[in-house]
Amino acid sequence: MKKSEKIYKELREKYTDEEIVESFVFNEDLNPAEQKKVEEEFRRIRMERLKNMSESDILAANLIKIKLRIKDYFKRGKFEEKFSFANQLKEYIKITKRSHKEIADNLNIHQTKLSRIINGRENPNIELMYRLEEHSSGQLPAFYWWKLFSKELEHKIRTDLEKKLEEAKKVKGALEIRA
Amino acid sequence: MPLQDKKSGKALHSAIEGVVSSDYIWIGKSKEFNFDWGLERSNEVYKIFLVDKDDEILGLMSLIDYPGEYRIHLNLIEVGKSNRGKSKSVENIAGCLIAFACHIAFDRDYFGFVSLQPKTQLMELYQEKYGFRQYGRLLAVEQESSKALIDKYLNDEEE
Repeated sequence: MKKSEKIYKELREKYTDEEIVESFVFNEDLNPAEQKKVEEEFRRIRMERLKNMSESDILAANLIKIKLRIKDYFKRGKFEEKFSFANQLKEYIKITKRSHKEIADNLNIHQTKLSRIINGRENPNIELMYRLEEHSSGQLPAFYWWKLFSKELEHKIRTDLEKKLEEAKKVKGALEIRA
Repeated sequence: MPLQDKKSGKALHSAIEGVVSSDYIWIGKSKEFNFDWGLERSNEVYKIFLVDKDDEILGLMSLIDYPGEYRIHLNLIEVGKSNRGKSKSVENIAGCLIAFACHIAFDRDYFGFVSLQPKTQLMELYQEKYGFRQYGRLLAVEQESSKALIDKYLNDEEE
């Protein structure tokens, strides 16, 4: 008797098929010749499918990938440069396969402004975040872009000691509170 | 939906991580698992557990990466004895593990493609339960059907 058949028989004594599917995945073991045939047939179908994937299919999968990576980043908590607003915007533009000029035009912002945001010389505004949500067909919601930016901003506020000192010098009459 | 307490219906906070050496010792001793998980060491093996009870593995999954075919193969999934059948206390363990495999398949640029080669008698049920489709003798999810599993089992936030 095949190994998978034996396993199935044993499980079937305790569980229904529905319960087995809810708790197990195991391979049906075939003899080497059968297995080879199954794999060859599968590979043919898979390669055919890959060949026939449209640009839109690839874009949709890449959007899901970006979204999942951003969600994982949110769960990790700490700021990571790779997930700065600018870097994720660059990543987004890359997967759309559109030029910066086209994207600026799509988002109805000046190309110089887009360049400045991508190069981290200008902060993005909420309007841009809403436009990015619309541009990605809702796949990357405005609040994702906001979270990316706010994590970056928090990191900057916490770590930019030079700026902190510079601004502290401008303050007069600070409250005196004794611990 | 994520892991759920069967009695109360409450969502349970869980995590999925790679299995490490000490886990194999626990798995061997626990009597929760029937399959010989030591045989899966050469594959990518993951465990699912409750965050506030991380010394207890609820389910295991062994994956094989086929980069040339842009796919992740579900080689083996086993839910611990205490959570199988009618007496289980935690729901959706296998669903969460499968969804995690889908997540990996998107991350590795495989378009979410995850396959399995189940027994013929069970093929229809895997299709009904998880949305798998037939690719010759194998079943698989990809693209939207793969994303749907992630949304169903791994999503823990409102959008």
